Amino acid sequence: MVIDIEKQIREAEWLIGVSKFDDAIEALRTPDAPNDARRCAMLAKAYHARGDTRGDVYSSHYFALRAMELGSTDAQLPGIAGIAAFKKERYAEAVKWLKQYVREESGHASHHLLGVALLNNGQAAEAIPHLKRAVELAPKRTDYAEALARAESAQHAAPRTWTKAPHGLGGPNDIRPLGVPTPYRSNAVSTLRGIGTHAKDHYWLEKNIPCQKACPAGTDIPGYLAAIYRGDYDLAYKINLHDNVFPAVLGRVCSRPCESECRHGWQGLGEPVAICFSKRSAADFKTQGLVVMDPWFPKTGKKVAVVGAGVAGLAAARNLALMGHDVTVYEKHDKPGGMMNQGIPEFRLPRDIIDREIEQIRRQGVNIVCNAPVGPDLPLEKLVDENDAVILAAGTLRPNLLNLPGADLQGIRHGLAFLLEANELRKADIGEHIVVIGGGFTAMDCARTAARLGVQTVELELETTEKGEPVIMKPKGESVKVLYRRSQAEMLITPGELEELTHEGIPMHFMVSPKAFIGDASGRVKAMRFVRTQLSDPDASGRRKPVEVAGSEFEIPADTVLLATGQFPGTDWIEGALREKLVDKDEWLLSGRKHHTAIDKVFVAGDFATGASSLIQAIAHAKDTARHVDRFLMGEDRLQDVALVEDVQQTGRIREMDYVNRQPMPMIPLERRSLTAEVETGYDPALATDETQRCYLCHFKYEIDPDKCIYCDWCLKAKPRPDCIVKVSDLIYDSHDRIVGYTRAKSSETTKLIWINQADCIRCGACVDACPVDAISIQRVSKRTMRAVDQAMTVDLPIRFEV
Amino acid sequence: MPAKPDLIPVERDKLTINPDFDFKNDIAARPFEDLRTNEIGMFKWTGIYHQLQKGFFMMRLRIPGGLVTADQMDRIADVAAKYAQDQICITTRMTVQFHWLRKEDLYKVLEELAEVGLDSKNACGDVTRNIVTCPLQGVCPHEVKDVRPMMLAIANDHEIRDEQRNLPRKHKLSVNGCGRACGQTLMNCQSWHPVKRTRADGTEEIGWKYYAGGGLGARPYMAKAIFEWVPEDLVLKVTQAATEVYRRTGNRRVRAWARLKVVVDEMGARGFGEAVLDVMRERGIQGLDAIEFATKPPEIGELFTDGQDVIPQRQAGFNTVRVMILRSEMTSAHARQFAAWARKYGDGSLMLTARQNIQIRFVPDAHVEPLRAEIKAAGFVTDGHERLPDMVACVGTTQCNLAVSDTPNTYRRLYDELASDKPFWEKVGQLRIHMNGCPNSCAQHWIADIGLRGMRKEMPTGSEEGFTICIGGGLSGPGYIGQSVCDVPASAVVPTVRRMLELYLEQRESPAETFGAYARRIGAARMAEMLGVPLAPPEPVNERNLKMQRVFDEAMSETSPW
Ligand SMILES: Cc1cc2nc3c(=O)[nH]c(=O)nc-3n(C[C@H](O)[C@H](O)[C@H](O)COP(=O)(O)OP(=O)(O)OC[C@H]3O[C@@H](n4cnc5c(N)ncnc54)[C@H](O)[C@@H]3O)c2cc1C
Ligand code: SF4
Ligand code: SF4
Ligand code: SF4
Ligand code: SF4
Ligand code: SF4
Repeated sequence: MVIDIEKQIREAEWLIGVSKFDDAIEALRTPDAPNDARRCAMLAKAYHARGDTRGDVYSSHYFALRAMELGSTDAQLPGIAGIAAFKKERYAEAVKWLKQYVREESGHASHHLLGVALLNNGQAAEAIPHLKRAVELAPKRTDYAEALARAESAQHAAPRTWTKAPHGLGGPNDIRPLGVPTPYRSNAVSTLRGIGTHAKDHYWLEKNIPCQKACPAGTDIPGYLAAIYRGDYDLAYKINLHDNVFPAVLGRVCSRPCESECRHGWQGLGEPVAICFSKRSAADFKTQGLVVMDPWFPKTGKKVAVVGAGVAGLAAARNLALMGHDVTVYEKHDKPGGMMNQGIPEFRLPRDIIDREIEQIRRQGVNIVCNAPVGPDLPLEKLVDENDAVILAAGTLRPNLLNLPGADLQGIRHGLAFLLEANELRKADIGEHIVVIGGGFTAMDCARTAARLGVQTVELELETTEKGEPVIMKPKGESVKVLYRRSQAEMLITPGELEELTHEGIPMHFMVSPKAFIGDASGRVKAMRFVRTQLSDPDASGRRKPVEVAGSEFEIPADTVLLATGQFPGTDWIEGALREKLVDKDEWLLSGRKHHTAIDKVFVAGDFATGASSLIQAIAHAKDTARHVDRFLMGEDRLQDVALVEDVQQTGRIREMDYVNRQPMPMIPLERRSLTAEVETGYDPALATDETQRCYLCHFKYEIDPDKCIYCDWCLKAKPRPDCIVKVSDLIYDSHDRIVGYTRAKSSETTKLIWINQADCIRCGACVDACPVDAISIQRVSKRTMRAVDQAMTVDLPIRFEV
Repeated sequence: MPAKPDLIPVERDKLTINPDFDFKNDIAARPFEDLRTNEIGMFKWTGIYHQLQKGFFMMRLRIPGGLVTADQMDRIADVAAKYAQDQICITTRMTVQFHWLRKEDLYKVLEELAEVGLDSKNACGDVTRNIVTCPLQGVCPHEVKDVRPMMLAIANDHEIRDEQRNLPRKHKLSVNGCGRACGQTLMNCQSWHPVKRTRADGTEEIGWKYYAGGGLGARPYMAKAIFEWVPEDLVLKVTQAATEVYRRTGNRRVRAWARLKVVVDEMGARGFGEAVLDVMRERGIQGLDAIEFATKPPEIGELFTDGQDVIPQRQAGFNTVRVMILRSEMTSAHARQFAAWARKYGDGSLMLTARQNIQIRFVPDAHVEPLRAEIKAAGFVTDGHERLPDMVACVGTTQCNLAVSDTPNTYRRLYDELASDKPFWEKVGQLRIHMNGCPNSCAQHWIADIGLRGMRKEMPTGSEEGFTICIGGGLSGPGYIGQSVCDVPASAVVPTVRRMLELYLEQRESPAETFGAYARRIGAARMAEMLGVPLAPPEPVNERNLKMQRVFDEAMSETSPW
């Protein structure tokens, strides 16, 4: 085989010229081992030109020397060897080669380089002529002037010492001191261990535990999922009870905004954890009977009245009782619970579950008075006079009626009234052919309840978005306009309900709009007229509105129409002078979604303030109201949200758990479904374990101690995610020192940190296992609420001080 | 738990990729881009690694006990000249490795080596690696008996070599001539040495003592003594059974915890011994009653050699001549030279040592001086064995993928600045400096008197190459793992090492107290205190290099013809 070296060299030269160094190297070693001076010289050039990544300096040096040994007289080789030696701080060698390379007639950079090499080799006197020459040739170069000045004073810069941070973050087996601030700005939280109250601590919680951030009540989801996995149902229940007040109820009917945010459901990571179903198992399998919490504060002697015993009223009441106030809840209905009882059907939410969790609230010291409508017999004014504070939590009982021709025909009912009747009496005055209009909770429940009452046909009419999802008409407090919500995230039904509806054989019509009720001779409705709609072209805001399709009108026969077209806060019971201060002309509150009103003492909670929402949103709103009330009553913020930072050695997870599939909810077969039989039967303990092990436990924080890290990249080789560990040249901070971004390092030279990008971390622990110097610690960072007075007491942590 | 135990990728590869590649018809023919990373990973089973420089490969040979013939050495030289850019590296497991191999030449290298009885099977990978012995194996006056037959029996055992090719991780064995530290008993997964004892009737018998569970890596463990006495005919069987125990029980999920050292640590010496016996019983092996458990922790003797360049062999009238190979790197010419000397002055064999040096064996007394003279004339170093100049270093960032520091560079600096000061290092006496480019411990920094482990140091801008300095490691007695004193940037290594040695000279109890003994006496913390805060250079080197890049580029464009 004759090899045309000439051609290879030309090709390599060209490839180096266009920065294709790898290709140049490939060309030089094809088809045989490059054992001659010329190709070795080219290899030296290719590696030299490729840059200074690890190994390139060595390779350029190696091949330059080898080429010279093999007799190459290429003038660049001593330069390459000299620069490599210089880079490696072998100045004596650098001087040797650079002296060969640099001639009298060489340019400024060559002279400067040789000068600096000499200077660094302790030969300042010899360096000066070269450095001078460089300055002469390029007088504008400040670096040249500086080097010359340095050589002339032949002074070495003051030796620098480095200091170690007093306490590093350490590794997985280290115990960090309590209450000591973290040493670096780059640390994810503000304290090495203990309680963090810095903006960056709260930010960490929000960014890292997406489910908890999404849960309106901020439930410690990883905390309780881990407890369920361990089989500690009691603890799991308690964690829930603390945050969301009704764990067993919400375990069944929560709209679960948390799940759509779950890290496990992120792109490429599978399906979200079944947070809600898991929560239910904690309630199902806990061993305690009624759970009563320890009060957070001693009795204050302050009196609070709450109007309405829905979830909002009850949640606010419970938290105020825990804070030491005397609370009485006035409920107009004969049973407390609000929509839990009056709206949500039994086949979704058994009544004993509600009763038990309300009983717990009673035991917490809350006085609930039923059959006590606030209004003419029990004026709000009286409550305001007799109490230190009053909370209005009357829900949304005022139906939104459709103003269409024939609206006063018989057989047109509001869905809520129908549900109340069915839920109370287990039967309802209803015909044979039902049409339900609407797209929210009420519509779903009306349809499914009607189906269970044995009617012949049930049809559901919804308006939909582009994707064919139902939209819900959700009036906004301030302006009473009907809006069409579009995103699935805002769709106010419980995930899975729509599927169940289909499963139960209830037909749905999408993209239709009601036009008129059609009556028979007796004045009873006999059909409903609709028109089909289609989505318009996007308007300026990008929104596509449903517009009627001309000539597409059609009728659906019906003897009963259930209107589930939304409900608003009913304020007619607020009378007299108070009404003026509280209620707007359109019946909505003047205070909007706020927790407080124009009257100091009067506060608002739940749907009554926000408009129809969901149980968990109403509870979250009410808990905040309770804190407003307490602040009003006590004149200070007695509670504080903090991040609790704890050391852990292991997370108890293994990577296999990530590959377990989401466990489906067991359900009773269609033939056994009735008004009262609960459809979803819940996980058994084995399923609960299977499901909860899937949770990544996002409350774990993996962090590299920059003092211990030796930049070996082993963790980078072990990581499962593209960006969970990154080499960064800079972290980006906001004005509160929160880490809001990073700049990826372009080369090993600019790598400032090997940094765990916790947003992309799935808490697999592979990096901890891989790190040879135990530089990666694991800590648990959890959101806690504690008494402000306890904040200083960080000596003996933690749960004890948690409220 | 319904989780399907999912194999980690390496484990999957080990089950699905046949490690016996056809390097000629398959690998050589396919373009580099076509080779899957997993496949390249499995090249290790043939001793082949992809080196740091893309498209070039490293190949390590399997040379049980480190002994090669002059003919084999010549062939190694030929191969290096033809395919490996003339570079031959002696490894700490008594073998050699080539760098810069092209994928297309791999099969040629294998074929040409096979012609002289050399191979690279199992030189890397999750298998039993090249077996090591003491460097004076077969010639040492202290050797209880010639252990070469036993060493070869284990090395070439069909079960261990050919069947057990899917162990949880690498598996390292040593067979030693006696209970001294020369063969690194305490840092191997399994180790043997013969022992002599007197029977009740006054006659002598020879059996073997067995250790297991040593290993360095990122987390070092010293071996435990498992069996005090194993009859000669059961030695191979115990080794096989122990390998099987390892296959069954090693951690296959976390590579960092996969070595036998972890198994032995978890089971304890007794538990591991029992597990080995269980497997032997399972296999129907008789005579297990004769095996005696060890009851005491290991007590390994000191190194036998202490600076001599010529060591009189137990074969009267013959000597072993030791030559230092700086930075373990030889050219083909060097290798040929050694082969020639071995033929001319010795018995035609050469020993590659774990300290990365070469020994010429069976040199008759009369040949010693002429050989010495030739060696000196050829410019090789013979001075300073077991002293400062006799340093061990890995390839570091020059060629290794895992490295963080340029060990060869640091080796050179230390050598240039300290080895030249002979009176100084002679005063210091016994000293073993080892340096690793990363925590992997290829160059065994944990067991050195002074060990350097590559690291990077965060600096205000970027990070700078540096080393963690450990002191007080050693393989005698119960075994000592070096303790870390401080982290220094690479440029501060030389002054720090020198300062530590000066402190030792000032403070040692007597010249009989070696640096190692001194270091263990005072401890790493005290040493750190005495050193104070090391001085850092005014500017991190890589930052400086970064700023100079423009000058480098401009200077290269100013080339004037010679
Ligand atoms: C049919 C239906 C199904 C639903 N399903 C779900 C679901 O599955 N998941 C989910 O998250 N959300 C669901 N929701 C929404 C959820 O029920 C509400 O968002 C939530 O109940 C609001 O709580 P609240 O305490 O603010 O109001 P309510 O629960 O409405 O409670 C208000 C209480 O105030 C009482 N009250 C009113 N006026 C007076 C007065 N003058 N004096 C004394 N008492 C008074 C009422 O009797 C009632 O008990 C559903 C709603 C409906 C209607
Ligand atoms: S209460 Fe609802 S939103 Fe909160 S965690 Fe539970 S299911 Fe999720
Ligand atoms: S993986 Fe667990 S902790 Fe993380 S978001 Fe999902 S449920 Fe929450
Ligand atoms: S634990 Fe470590 S390896 Fe695993 S995802 Fe997080 S950063 Fe990556
Ligand atoms: S494995 Fe450890 S030492 Fe290596 S880069 Fe990662 S954190 Fe740093
Ligand atoms: S010690 Fe580390 S850097 Fe050195 S050769 Fe081994 S793996 Fe590579």
